[in-house]
Amino acid sequence: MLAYPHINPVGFHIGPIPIHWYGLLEIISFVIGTIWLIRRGRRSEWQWTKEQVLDLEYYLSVGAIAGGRLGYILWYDLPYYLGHPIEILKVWEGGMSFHGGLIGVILGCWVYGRKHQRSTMAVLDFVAPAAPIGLGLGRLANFINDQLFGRVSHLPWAVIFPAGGPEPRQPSQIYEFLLEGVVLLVILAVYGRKRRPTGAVGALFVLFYGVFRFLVEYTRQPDIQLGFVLGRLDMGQILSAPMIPIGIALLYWAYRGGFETRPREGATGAST
Amino acid sequence: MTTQPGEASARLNTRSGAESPATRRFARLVIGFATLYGVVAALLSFHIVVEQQVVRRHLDSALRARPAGPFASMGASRAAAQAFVARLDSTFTHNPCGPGPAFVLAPSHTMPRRDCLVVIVPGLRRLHVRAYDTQGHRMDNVFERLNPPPRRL
Repeated sequence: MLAYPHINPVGFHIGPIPIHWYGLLEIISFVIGTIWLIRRGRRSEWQWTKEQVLDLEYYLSVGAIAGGRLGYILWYDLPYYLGHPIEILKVWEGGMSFHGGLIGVILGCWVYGRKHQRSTMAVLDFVAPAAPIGLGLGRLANFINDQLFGRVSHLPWAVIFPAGGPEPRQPSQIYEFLLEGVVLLVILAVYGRKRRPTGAVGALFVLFYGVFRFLVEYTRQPDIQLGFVLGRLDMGQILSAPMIPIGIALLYWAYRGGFETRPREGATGAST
Repeated sequence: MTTQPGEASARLNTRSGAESPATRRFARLVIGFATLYGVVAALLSFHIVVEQQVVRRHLDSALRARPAGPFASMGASRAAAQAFVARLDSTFTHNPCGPGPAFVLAPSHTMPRRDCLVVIVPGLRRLHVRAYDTQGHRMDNVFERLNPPPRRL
């Protein structure tokens, strides 16, 4: 079994303000993702300006935070928040859901696409390869924060998490970092290097995230207020399961050319 | 990376375009399925959280109130466990997962395994408490003690 590294959740202070690793890693992932998208946007097949990327990121951030929070409330602890509605606003106290965030991001892409006359699926294709950067670093932050750990295990690499009691547990945050972060990033970056049908890169993200999350959840301690939800499945698996058939359907539709769109008459094609 | 001459125009065609009726139908189907699934998942989650909250309170009460050991004999332990179960069952009369008591007495080798059940097992050193969640899976006492019901993660 491995010893928990006991990293101070506070990375450093700026004057009296403590800067937590969690927030810092999220900012780092945001900066890396932005730089990557700006470079990606310069490629002739994408043609996104720096200003357009930054504008898009505003929509994505709002979508991810609002969707992530609402998803958590709806799927993880609705009775509590119905009784304490003011707590919904306390985002800093934790409680975000990836699946809600994903819906928020898709809605953000849709709103941006309508405003700037781009197809939603093309916008999703553009941003999808950058998403694993934030997801992966977020999981590392979970590990540093001693939260969202795995189930009790006696594997040689099991870790005793201080917040999880004296029993060694699966370091499920590290599995998630590797699968949802590193492996997914490599898959999407390699696949997205060549021209693909519109919608295919976004579909591949949905498919592989669904597969990876569904599998890793078998090692993760279910949320304490829920426990298991349906037989041996927890809520993360319930929400990830439909991503697999939806991802396959989207991929099939993309390769049929279903998401390629016809230019409207009189459309300029360029957006500001 | 080089770009084929048709690539840029192909990608640009995705801008300001109109989807085909078939794609619109496909999108409606996917969105409809996802929405319906999301609503069902939310209802299921609500139901489970409410039930699990009761089980967690039962487990917390049993862990806090169990008579202190050690006991002189297994007979004494069994008698203490029996009285403890009777006390708990009269205090908490509701089993959220269905009819029947929320607390039962059982020796460890014939442990019943049932949804939303707290099992008190006699022992010489102390009474053991084992709880099963809404799906009949054994709950983690240590984790529950670290995060008792009113407290949140």
